[in-house]
Amino acid sequence: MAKQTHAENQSNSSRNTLIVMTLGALLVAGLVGWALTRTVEPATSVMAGQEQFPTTTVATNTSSSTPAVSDPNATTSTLSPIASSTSPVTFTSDTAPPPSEHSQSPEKAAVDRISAEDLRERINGGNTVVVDVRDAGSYAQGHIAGAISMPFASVEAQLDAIPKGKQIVTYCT
Amino acid sequence: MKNKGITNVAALYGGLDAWRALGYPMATGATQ
Repeated sequence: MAKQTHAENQSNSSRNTLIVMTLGALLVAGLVGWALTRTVEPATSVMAGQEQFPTTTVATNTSSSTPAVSDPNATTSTLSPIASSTSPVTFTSDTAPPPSEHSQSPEKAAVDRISAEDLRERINGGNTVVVDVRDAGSYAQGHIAGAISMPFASVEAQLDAIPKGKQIVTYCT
Repeated sequence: MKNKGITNVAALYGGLDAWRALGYPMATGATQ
């Protein structure tokens, strides 16, 4: 009888140990998961606050995870969490170019643009051909007086129809 | 695209809307 009780106690004890270890493992896994979520959240909020310069934000995140060699601000940001949340804004505003520089350069090199007043003077001068590159339906509804219709899709096929030696001015809507 | 000797090309800034806004002569009708 006493041996049976002793064996039951041993069995209960080992079962309790197993339960405690399982609960401990679950607790550790939960803590690790929570810690990972807390680590990711500040990174996404920083990226969301800097939507205009996404490429620079990536560079800033790498500098905050590993100490930068040349940038003294980045070294400070690794020591203090508060500084790391504010330093990317300063870093990106110093290095990123203004968005307007990107939006202007490709189109400007294509063709010259003239004003409506300038076009009227050129038409009156008589050495200008005005080409409407919209579709034929839009042209029929209304176009600049004297303009010829040449929809953009067929410009290459109709290049021979354009008088040579004259200035060409195109327009759309 | 080959330009076939056409080099002096410009574009109307603001398009037809800019022309129409100034009251300059317009025409209607089918393709010439």
